[in-house]
Amino acid sequence: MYQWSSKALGRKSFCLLSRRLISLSSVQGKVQSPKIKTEHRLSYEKANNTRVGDSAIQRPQSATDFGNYKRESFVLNLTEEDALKIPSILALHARLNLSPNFEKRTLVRALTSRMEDNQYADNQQMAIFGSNILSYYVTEYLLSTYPRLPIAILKAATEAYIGDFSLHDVAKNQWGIEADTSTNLEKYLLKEPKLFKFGKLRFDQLVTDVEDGITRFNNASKTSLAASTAFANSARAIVAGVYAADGEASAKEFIDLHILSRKVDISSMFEFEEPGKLITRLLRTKNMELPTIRLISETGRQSSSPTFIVGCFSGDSLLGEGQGSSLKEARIRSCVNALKAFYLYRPLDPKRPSESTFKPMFVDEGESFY
Amino acid sequence: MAGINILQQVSRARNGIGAFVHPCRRIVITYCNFGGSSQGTRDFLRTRLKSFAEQYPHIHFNVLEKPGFHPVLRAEYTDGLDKQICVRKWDVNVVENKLKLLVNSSGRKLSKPKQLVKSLNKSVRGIWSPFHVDPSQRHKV
Repeated sequence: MYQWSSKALGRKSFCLLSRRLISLSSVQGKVQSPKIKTEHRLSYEKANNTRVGDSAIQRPQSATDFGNYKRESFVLNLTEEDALKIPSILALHARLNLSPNFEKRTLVRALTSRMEDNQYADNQQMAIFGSNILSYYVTEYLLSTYPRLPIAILKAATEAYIGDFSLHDVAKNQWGIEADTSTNLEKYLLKEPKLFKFGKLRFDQLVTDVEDGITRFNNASKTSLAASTAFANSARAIVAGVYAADGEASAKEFIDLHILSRKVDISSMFEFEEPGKLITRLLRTKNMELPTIRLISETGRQSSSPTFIVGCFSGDSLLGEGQGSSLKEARIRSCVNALKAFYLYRPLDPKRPSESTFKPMFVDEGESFY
Repeated sequence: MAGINILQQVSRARNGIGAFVHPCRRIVITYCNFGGSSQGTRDFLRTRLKSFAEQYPHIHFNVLEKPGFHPVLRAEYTDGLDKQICVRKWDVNVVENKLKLLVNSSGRKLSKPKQLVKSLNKSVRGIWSPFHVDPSQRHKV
């Protein structure tokens, strides 16, 4: 079916990115365009997950023949007929509203992690590719919606959407993927058909609950995974499957519906150490007047519950307002609000580069200091 | 960035905003093959189960024979919760209605909401301040 390999897919996804970048410039023809540096990567990725051993990949003669990279580490692949006999796979397919192009056996593969002594096709490359698509669309969304986010917050917000813990919640508690934790003996006693184990998420568990109150910490092998990583990888693999079955637009829609629709409160991700100094430094780099804190109104200064409202001004313009039960508290709040008003700036109708109505424009010069 | 620390978060689910994933994942129907209390359940399995299950392709139906026990309908939900209903002595219509009840449930216990609106978002008004009230509307001592 689909042959996945990290290098081919890695390059493919990079090509997608670079094509978009190049299309913005009009320099073509004889003028040699400068090479795009790839040192600064905004995209979310896991460095320990992106390489596959060379022995596992069969390379074509031409290195750019991306369709013909093949994995050799599996010998068996479940047939579509067999996959159609697994009720939990059929139910999951219907629950996620996947298209008929998305084969049931691709779903089986997405639920199979890389394991020791596993002869069946696993989801490793699918997960890597899915992770790349997810990181592309989520960073694209965040950058166009909040163009002034500091890079550390941008990374943390991406992690909040597509990190292991978030996708674990998506796969387990939203999509209802079940982990296969029963032993072979239990399966035999239940008279469960052998095929049914393919309908559950299978992975080498780092931690197993032997029985009530007893937890066993297994020796970590090359393939053992934490439960959160295994679930997250299955979610990433399903995203990759959507891309392979229905193309880029469907994958984007799938991510919009299932991942970007979740709630992340970016404004509460900030913690400013010295907001007064930060706002001063920010205004200085913007060549604006330095901040002055002015008292707007107050009540009960001599009482046990005074209230002050102060504003953080640059010249005549009010940047942020803060209230507190002491002047210091109100002042700090006003500075924090001014900083948040800057960093959380949001265009009225944000358009993403992958949308057809997107018009490239100069949004912001980026972070002016670190 | 110097001076700005990060408070890491994990995104929270809002089922129905974006995609709606049906919460009911699996339904297990247990029945006894000769007991009188399972008569209605057996009728349901024989005459209606096929058409009923076809309406809900996203649910995995599982039928278990459990001789000597009353019939029980158990539903498992995506967030790990489950609900059980004993349909002892009930006829085929009641069994079907109880199944519909399980299918349409989110798996959580029924509770009366205390607020009219339940939201993950912070209040847009912020903290109440006496100074932002229009002077003509202010309380006068």
